[in-house]
Parts: sequence; C-alpha cells; structure tokens
Amino acid sequence: MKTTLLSISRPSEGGLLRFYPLRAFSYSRFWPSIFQIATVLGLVLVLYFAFFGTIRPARNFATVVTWTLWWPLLPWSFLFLGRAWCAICPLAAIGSWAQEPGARLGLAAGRQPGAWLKRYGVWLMVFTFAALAWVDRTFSIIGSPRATGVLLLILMLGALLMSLLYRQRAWCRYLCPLGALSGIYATTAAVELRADKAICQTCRTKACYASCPLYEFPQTMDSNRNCNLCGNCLKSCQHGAIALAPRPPGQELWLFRHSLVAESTLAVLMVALVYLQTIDMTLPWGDYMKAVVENTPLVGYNAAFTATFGAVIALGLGSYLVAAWASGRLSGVGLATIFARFGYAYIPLALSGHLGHNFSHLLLEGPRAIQTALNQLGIPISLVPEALTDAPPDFSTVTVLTIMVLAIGIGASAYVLWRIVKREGRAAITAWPHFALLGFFSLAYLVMFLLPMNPRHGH
Amino acid sequence: MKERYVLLMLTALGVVLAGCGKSEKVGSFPAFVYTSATSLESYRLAVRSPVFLEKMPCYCGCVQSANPPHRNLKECFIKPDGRFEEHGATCDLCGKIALDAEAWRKEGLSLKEVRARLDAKYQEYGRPTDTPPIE
Ligand code: SF4
Ligand code: SF4
Repeated sequence: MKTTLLSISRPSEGGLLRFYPLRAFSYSRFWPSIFQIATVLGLVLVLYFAFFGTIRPARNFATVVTWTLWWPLLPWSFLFLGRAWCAICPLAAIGSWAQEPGARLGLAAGRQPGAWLKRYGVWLMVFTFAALAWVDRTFSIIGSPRATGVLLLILMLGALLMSLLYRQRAWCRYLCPLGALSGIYATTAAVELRADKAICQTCRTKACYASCPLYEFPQTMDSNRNCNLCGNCLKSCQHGAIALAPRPPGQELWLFRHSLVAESTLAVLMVALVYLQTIDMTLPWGDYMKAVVENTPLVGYNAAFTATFGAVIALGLGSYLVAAWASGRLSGVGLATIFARFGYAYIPLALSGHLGHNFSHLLLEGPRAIQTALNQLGIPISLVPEALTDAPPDFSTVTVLTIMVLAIGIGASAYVLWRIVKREGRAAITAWPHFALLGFFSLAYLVMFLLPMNPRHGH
Repeated sequence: MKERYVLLMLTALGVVLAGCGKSEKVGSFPAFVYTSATSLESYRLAVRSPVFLEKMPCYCGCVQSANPPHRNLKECFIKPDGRFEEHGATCDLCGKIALDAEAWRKEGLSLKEVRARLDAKYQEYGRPTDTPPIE
C-alpha cells in the first residue's frame, strides 16, 4: 500500500504517524527498547552514586538528577506525551526483562491479574501514592542520597516481584505510585493513541490485546490512563487500525465513558497533596506548626505533620464529597455517579499546581544541578556559567510563571466541568457546587503560591 | 465487619501518631524552628545539651558565611548572647550533624569518639568551625 503525505489510506498512517521518521521509529524495535537501555543505565548510575557517592545531597548525582531534574520535568512529559515515561521507565523495564529468564528458571508465575487486583488496583495506587508523599516528607528522602537509593530499590523490587508474579506489567497498572501520577495526568495530554473501532470489529485476532503490557484493549480504549504509548499494539495490529493523533489537551476528560470512584478520589487527592507539599515550604508554615506543636498533644514535628497530612486529605476529599452530594441533590443523579464523574475535572488544577510547584526547583536549582551532574560524571564541560549557578534566586520570575500556569489550570478545570455537564446532558445547576469547590481550591492555591517561601538552603 | 476494619485502621493510625509523638516537649521556639522535624529536634537538643554541642564542630560553612563566624555547632542554634539563631533552621546540614552526634552519644560513645566520628563523616564538606579538639 503506497502512502504519501496526501493520501492516507490506513488510520495508523494518519495522525502524527503520517510523518515518516516518527512512523518508522514507532514501528521499529528501537522504540522503546533503546530508551529503556538508556534509562536503566541511568538508574544504575543513580544507584551507584546514591550508595557510594558523596553524602552531600546538593553535590550527589543521584539526588540532583532524581529530585532536581527528573522529578520536576516529569509532569511536563505527561502534558505532551501522556504516559510515555512508563514505556521507558527503568523500574518496569528491569521487571519486563526478568520475565523470560524468570519463566525459564521456574521463578515467574506469569499469572493473569485476578478479580481482586482488577477491582481494587486503583485504590491500591491511591494508597501507595499517598504513602509515598508521606514517606518523602517524614523521612526527608530528597535530602539524602542514601534514602533516595533505598526508595528506588524498594520500587525496583516491587516492580520485579510483580513482574515475576504476573504476566505483563501488573505493577504499572495496579500498584506503582508513579503509575498513579502518570495515569491521572496522562488524561491531560495533547496526544492520544486510539484504534479505529470499525476496523477492529472486523478483526478476529485481537492481537493488540495480547501484546499490551497494561492489559488494555485498544478497540474499547477511550482514555490515556492505561496507555504508555509503547507501540506494541501498533506493531501487532495487522490491519493498521491504530493511530497516534494530536488532540486538544485533556479532551478525553469530558469524552470518556468509564469513570471510576477510585480515580476521581485520586484526582482530588492530587489536589490535596500538591497543596500540602507546597504549603510546607512557605514561611507561615512555621507559625502553623508552632501553634500545633505547642497547643496540642502532638509534640513531635512528624506527629503534627502526619495529623495535618491526614486533615488536609480529609478536608479535600470531604469537601469534594459534599460538592458531589449537593450536585446529586440538585440534579437528581446518584451520589456515586456524580462522585465518579466530576473528580476528573480537578486534574488540570492539580497538574498546574504541580508544575507551578516544580518551577522553583527547576528554575532556581536546575542550572546548578546540571553542572553538578556533569561534574560528578567527570565530564569536563562547563555548561552553566558560574555567574548563573551562583546567582541569587529570582523568586519574582518564578512566582509570575507559577501564577500564569495556575491560571491556565484553573481555566482548564472550569472548562472541563462545563463540558462534562454539556456532554452528559445534565442541567447546568449540576455543576454549580463543583464550580464553588473549584473556586475554593483555586483560591487556596493562589494564596499559597503568593506566600513567601522558606529560605532553606542545601549543601 | 466494616466497623472492625475502621477500628483497626484507627488503632493503626493511633499507634503511628503515638510513635511519631514520642519527642519530649522542651520549651517554646520562634516559628522558624518549626519547619522540619530535623530543625525542631536539633533546637530542642541545643536547649537540652548546649555544652555538648559546644564541643562539636559544624561543617556547613558557617565558619565563613555567618556573621560573626560560628565557633561551634551550638552557635548554629543559639547565639552567644542566648537568643535563638535562625541559621540552624534554614540550613539542612547543621541539624543533621547535631542529631547524628546525639545519636552516637546515646549509643554510648565518649565525647572524643563522637567528635572523631563526626569529623570522619562530614569532613568532605570542607572547613569546619574552629572548635577546639576534645582532650
Ligand atoms: S489487532 Fe488491530 S484491528 Fe484487531 S482489535 Fe486490535 S487494534 Fe483492532
Ligand atoms: S494500548 Fe498499545 S501503546 Fe498503549 S500500552 Fe497498550 S500496547 Fe502499548
């Protein structure tokens, strides 16, 4: 079948894949393996420096690459590439690579995920994600190369164990805390991989399903949540039914049909966790903690923090429950339906808060981190002028950028709310409690980002 | 059945909170102290054991950056005039050094051994405070 830029005869040759280099690469065996090899090598380096490098977090390759470069950049990748990070994630790659030799040695069970895992998997992710956020703060993971190494090892062992127990990637789909983050944020992506359902209906092999590491069936897939763009389905489909296409960012948030209470909970949890992890970096946080420690039985910092952590999550989810209840009463729709559907509208707000939070790390600490990583690897390149690495932090630029991104996120969340109501043919009044809650969350974020930051410095 | 699970979870949370809250309450501090667990615990230690910290050096560079230069680890938390010093709360190293030293002391190490271990662990940070050696 001859294809030119003007005559596209199969869906898989249209969309973004009409560009030959991208199409050739997507179909080649180099995607995603070549990136997996690179990230696994990166992980080996990170683990080496984490355990054998300097104890100085600001000078250690492991901490600067993990927390100052990779972690703040990751949310941007969700916006442009959906969950593609998961396709090249070294933790999952090691698990996948172990499956075949594991099976030969009789170590891999190769089971299909059971009903329990399928049913409660997203709840497990809600838990593991909240637990990771709590552990990070309570044990100051980012301030310690050794703790960073231990955390990565635990995640790696989790991925490895699940890969030996189950076929494909049960870890990524049902347990990984980063999978929770990437799955939820991938819904905002500006690209999507979808199958042409008309062609799929004529297909007898359904080869795509067997090849999907995340147990997705492209024929019915209407969300990026469980697609890491690995391209397996693209390569295995003999009918060229699958295409990668650009789209308005976040479009699926109002278009998809399968909404889950657990995922809505996760979305609102994200809003609460981004708030918590930013507010505790501001100056007034000290006043708040002083009041708690001095006036309650919670005399230890971690006890006071844990109680606050629980309270903020409870407040976020509780207020969402009230909004869903009010919305249900106003429209005559059941609480579970409303709760499951509207939570997704808060994802753009959470993502914009996340990106805003990371601006400070990326812009204020990024240049120095790049130089440190190069120095640690013994690469004699001076990429970042000393004047820049030693320049005093320019908080005002960061604040302006943060507020701009936040404003886009708030607008996007409001737009998604409105589109969900329109799409589902509900009365406009259904959305009002959620608009009110969105206003409350947005105001809390705005005030938080305008607060002066705690002038903490690392070594 | 459900109630049992809820009870179990609440008990587990109670145990965690009780565990976290085992630190003793020592006085009141300025708000800047309450910004991390390390910060609060190290200021509490400085109030409890000023003489101990006076014998320990700090490696964070405060020997050059602080004005006047710090002479020992205690001065990262308490100024020579007795007021609280903010530096120990904004620097991520002073607190770590202080809590390490305290942990080693609790392990039963002598002052001299604590000092030796501290010097060995943190010397890669550069010049320490001019804290006299322990005889
Ligand atoms: S193999 Fe291709 S045509 Fe068949 S169901 Fe999968 S995507 Fe559709
Ligand atoms: S749907 Fe296709 S691209 Fe997405 S994870 Fe499954 S196999 Fe990979």
